[in-house]
Amino acid sequence: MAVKRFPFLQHPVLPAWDGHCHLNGCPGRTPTERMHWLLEHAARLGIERVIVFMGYPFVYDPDPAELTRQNDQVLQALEHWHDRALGYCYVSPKYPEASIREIDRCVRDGPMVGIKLWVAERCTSPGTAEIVEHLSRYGGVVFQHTWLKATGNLPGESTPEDLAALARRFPQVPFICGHAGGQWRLGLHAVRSTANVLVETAGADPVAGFVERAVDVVGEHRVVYGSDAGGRSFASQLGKVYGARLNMNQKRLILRENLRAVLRPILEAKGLD
Amino acid sequence: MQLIDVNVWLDYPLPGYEAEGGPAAERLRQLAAMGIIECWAGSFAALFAPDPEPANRELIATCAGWQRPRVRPAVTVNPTLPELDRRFADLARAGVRIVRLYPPAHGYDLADEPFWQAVTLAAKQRMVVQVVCSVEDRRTQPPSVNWPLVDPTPLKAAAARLAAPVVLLNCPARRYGDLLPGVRNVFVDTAMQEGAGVLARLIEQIGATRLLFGSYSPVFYTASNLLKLIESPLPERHLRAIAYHNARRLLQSQ
Ligand SMILES: [Zn+2]
Repeated sequence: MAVKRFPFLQHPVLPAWDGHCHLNGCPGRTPTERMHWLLEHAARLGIERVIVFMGYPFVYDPDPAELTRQNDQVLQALEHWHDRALGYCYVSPKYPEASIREIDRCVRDGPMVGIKLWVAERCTSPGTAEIVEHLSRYGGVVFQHTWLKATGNLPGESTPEDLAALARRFPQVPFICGHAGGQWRLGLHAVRSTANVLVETAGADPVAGFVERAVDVVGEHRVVYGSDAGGRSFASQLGKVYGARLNMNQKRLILRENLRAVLRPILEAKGLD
Repeated sequence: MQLIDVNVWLDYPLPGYEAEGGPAAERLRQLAAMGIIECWAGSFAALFAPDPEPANRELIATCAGWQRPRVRPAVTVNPTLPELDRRFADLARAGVRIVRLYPPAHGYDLADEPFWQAVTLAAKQRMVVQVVCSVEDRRTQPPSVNWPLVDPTPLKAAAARLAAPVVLLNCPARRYGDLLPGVRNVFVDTAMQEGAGVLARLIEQIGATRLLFGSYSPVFYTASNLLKLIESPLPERHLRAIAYHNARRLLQSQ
């Protein structure tokens, strides 16, 4: 069979899983409609599967009821798309008990395959450890948003260094360092020596050199593609990997295989692989 | 399909950035292989020089040597420097059609008189004005170039004075709601437009005639903006407008 190539780019289309998507920023009246829209656009760029987390609108510091409401939106969005979409459960270190209940509902008893920690509280807090400890019973990945903003972080916003400290306490749990800290020149080095942390390419400008540097610093098996769509363009973020001076095998790892490998145990357990 | 890329930089790197993509000649050949038949190329050396003229001359000479792709010099103008009239006249004699302005680097904004002088002189010399609105998201900019985003809203208040076309490079257009559809002669490039399906959504907001393909190469991965042309389901006529015709028409209209 002839290899499909992207027009303009003249690059073969590689199978991709997008490890970072939201229903927020997508048009549609319901979670189902938003998911349909998101997947239509993903498919145009060879993205086979997306991982969605958090509902809409974005809430920095959700209370337990809001966590449940947002997780319900994601569960609804996943309903018709188990072959093409996966979900992480939105939790908050400020409410470890409620978060544990959400993990039981959405991961243990539901289809979700990991958790999303955002900016309610830094991941060095005791609540985070409690939540991660609980998740570790069921497998699944911990996705932690991280930034090192040149303009200053939010009070509850974790840095890659915070994440490395957390991840060292749970060496058997795979962690994803969302945005690679934003300022990736600094973020990559902060997680370099923590082997259970993967760095993620989503949600910053597609500045050339990022993905090559990520491979240099943490190795080709610890870099995963994500976009942060709908707020970000699938294209702008995917272009970081397609445009990188890497070989085809390295691009395949980053676009799909690395994420698939860390999710494999829980996907197999749920019959989703 | 043929493309014109209106946002290319020939020399590199910016201070605080790594040099990516190899020497300029190699990068230009790669752009040509992706269907880019013409690029409008600026010079960071000119942007950072106390007087951009020597670096501009070098840029003009380098561009003259290229046919595939054709490379048009987008020369840097600092409108706060003296003899602006003479500078524009010299550039016109050298065949320059595009001037590139970077207000925060030279200490003015779009409400200030130097900007409007540049627009007036560009119109007189049948040139297109490009305004570089940002280098990168401020949250990730290295301290060496941490400049604020240029605010394009003064263009609206003085729309009647916009005698030359103004192309806003690296401007997140969705933030400025009604600016573009409301003001004649203002255009944006694709480089920093964000959001899933962004081009189709932007066309809904500002129309297909205001949008030009720009890759911001080599600072950004060129692939990022090429893939935007595929991400949205666009009618062929819109795709051709963004990729080629709008840029062509800008030069012809002048
Ligand atoms: Zn996100």
